[in-house]
Amino acid sequence: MMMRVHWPLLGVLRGMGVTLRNFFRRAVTVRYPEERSALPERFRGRLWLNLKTCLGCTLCSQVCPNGALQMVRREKTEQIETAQKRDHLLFPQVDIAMCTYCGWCSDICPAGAIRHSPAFELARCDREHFIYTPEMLAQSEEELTAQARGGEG
Amino acid sequence: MSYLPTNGERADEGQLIALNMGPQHPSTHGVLRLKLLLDGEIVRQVEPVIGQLHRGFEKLAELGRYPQFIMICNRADYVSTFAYEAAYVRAVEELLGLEPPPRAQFIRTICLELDRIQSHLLWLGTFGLDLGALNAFWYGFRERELLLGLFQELTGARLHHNYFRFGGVKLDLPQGFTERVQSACNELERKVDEYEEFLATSDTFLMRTKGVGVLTKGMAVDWGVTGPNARASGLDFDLRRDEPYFAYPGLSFAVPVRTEGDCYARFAVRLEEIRQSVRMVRQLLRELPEGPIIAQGWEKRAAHLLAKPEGEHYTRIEGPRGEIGIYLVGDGTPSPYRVKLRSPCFQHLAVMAELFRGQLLADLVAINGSFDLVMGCVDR
Amino acid sequence: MSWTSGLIYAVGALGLLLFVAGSGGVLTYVFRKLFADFGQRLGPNRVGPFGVLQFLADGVKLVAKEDVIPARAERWGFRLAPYLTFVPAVLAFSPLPFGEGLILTDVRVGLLLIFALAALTPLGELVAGWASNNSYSLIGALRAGAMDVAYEVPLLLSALAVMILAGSSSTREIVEAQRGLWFFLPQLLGLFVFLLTLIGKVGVLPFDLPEAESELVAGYVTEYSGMRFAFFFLTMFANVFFIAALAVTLYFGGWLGPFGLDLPPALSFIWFFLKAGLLIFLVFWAWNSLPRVRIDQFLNLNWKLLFPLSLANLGLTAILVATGVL
Repeated sequence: MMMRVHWPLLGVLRGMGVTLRNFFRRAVTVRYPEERSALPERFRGRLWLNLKTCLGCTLCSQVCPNGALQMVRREKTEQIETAQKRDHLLFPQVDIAMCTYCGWCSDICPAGAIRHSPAFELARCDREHFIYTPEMLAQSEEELTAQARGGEG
Repeated sequence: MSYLPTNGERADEGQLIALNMGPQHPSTHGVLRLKLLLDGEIVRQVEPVIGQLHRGFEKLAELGRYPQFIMICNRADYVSTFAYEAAYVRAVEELLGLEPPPRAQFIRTICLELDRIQSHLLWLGTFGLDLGALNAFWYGFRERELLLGLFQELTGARLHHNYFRFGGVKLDLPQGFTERVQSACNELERKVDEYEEFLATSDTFLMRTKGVGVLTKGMAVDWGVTGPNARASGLDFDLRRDEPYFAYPGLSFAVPVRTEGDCYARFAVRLEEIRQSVRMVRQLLRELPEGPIIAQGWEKRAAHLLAKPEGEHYTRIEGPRGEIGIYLVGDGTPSPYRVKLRSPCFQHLAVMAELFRGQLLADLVAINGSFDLVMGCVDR
Repeated sequence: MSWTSGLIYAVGALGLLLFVAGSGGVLTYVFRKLFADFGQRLGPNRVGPFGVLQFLADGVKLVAKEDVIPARAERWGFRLAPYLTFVPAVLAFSPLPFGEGLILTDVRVGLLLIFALAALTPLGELVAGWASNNSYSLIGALRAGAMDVAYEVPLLLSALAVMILAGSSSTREIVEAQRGLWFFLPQLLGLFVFLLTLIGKVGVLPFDLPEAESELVAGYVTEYSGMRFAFFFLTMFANVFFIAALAVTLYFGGWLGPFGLDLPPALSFIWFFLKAGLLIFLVFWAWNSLPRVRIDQFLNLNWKLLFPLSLANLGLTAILVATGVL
């Protein structure tokens, strides 16, 4: 292969010029836990359930591609305020370790009861803790953390 | 290539070095495994081993219902997620005889073109990294981040959007989205020039890419190479222009073609495609029509679960890596009877194995990088 | 040798070791920070203010790591190799004058000693590559060997021109000889060859072929982990400092200030480190900017371009010195 003779250093210097230009630009990354970039409104994080409006229609569990979302029964009591007319109430329960945040359940929900919250820091020490009962789904991540902290003493 | 021995020289078997490149290797982009037999630095035999990322998507499609596969198939090629989504949605629509409204077509096309740009940016970064230009990686990711932020705003997810619906799209553009896309386009145009200055003028980059891994036009045709890789070999074929779909018929754009077929040509074609895509996005935003974003009767998502297309159909679209095809057979039940994904990367890997033979180890890495393989797309 | 001078040398040697190891460590931090800046990132920012203690954290991590020797490795060679690269790299610093009078071994053949010691480094790389019993390591080691033969010749020839110019091979006298005019001006060609070959010697981009990450994973250090890896890593960064120091000594007037702005002897090292720092920045800058060349291209460059250039430079210098022009 014949090497082209065309002042080889010039191209090298131009390449180095580009990096130097970037050297003087401000960093685009942030120190994550302290600084966070803003999340848009449509961001799909952990699921959030409105127990009051959930109809128990099971569409969300039908459309869930992973089977992460399953319907569980709850007995009708005075405490639970609900739109469901039956004696046995049906609510979704989500294994967030299996949830892929595809958004189908929130998209298909006719009552708008299941929605995505912006919470995305969902690390747990135990697999069982990934299973979110309807009651847990109804609470925000901060409330759950506060409860867990309180429970530990 | 005076360094390479000519054909016919055969090294003694005992002197060859067996090298297992991958599946965990910095430049095999995921989990490609290459079983190499090296004569010093020269590759004598190559055997690509694939399937390490096989997730059984075609079977998954048969197990689920029609809408569920939208979010599964975009994981096939996890770099350009919109492309598979679009191909599948289009296949189902054509089988159902469904025509999405024009605004949905335009939004889809905007998504596809932005997706193409971000896919090429990721390729640019990793290709630079393969050749040792460490910063190309950061630069590529920096601009990709812009687009991922836009996607997140539009669809709610950075990569796995699940945004296209049968007969349209999930949600309309958010407030001020078009302006932000415009400013991202301005930024991209500036930065693409910078990439070109950074890599294409750098002598070491040219030394590593020009004349390396030449894929002839005949070979490209024989092995079913499509997309930018084929266009870099002089095959003037682009489904967006030749079999237009969505909003492509009304778009004016050039299809960059080069005839050299080497790593540099593939680089140059992709860089030019980024520019053309930016142009297309601009035009789409200008001409974006008002109106519904989803066809009548499909606004209620429960209708998707009941979609029961019947018949068989093959749809192909131009993905960032080449022709993405979906062969769909419906038997009138809510689950597909068969979905076959035609992956461009699979074809490219086959021809790459041919190109590797007789090259230096370093050139193997360059060729591998230039073809823009995504192992998820190969294995499906 | 009396006990006192022996003690002085022992303390000096220990100081040198700590200095080289420390500067290598600091340079890893500097490199990571600069690498981040070139890529518009933040870089290390957790340990200490601006992450300046990151290199200590890295060191602790590497020491605390499990020491793995591959089952089928050549155990002795595998263990010996890190020291074979590290020790000569440290020793090569000893004849370098960091300031006026700040020199550990001021011998008349200082430059020769430096090159003799520096030439030992590839030996360790070869041993490491062979002993690891790994294809990547072997190819990396073979590349290191091939490159060593290629770059040593132009490197020595360009240094020889400086020796002719200075009329001495003592590093101190070479610096003293630059009092009127730093040698980079009459030796522009020599400096060009010298820097290119030295970057090849350290093995950083664009010439990091023995360790080419995207081809050979990590070359001859592929199988190394923990403390043994730390030695190789430290050697590389110590070498970056070494080549900058050597270039400053030979071409940029060592501890001398520009335009006769000399500092008092006790402070003269400031000039030295300032100039070395600039050169180190240059090396890191090139590292961050240029794609890797191929091994055959590197060998062609050295044998076909740099070797004739350095030879021509040597001849030219000799003629000019003999005729009294310089």
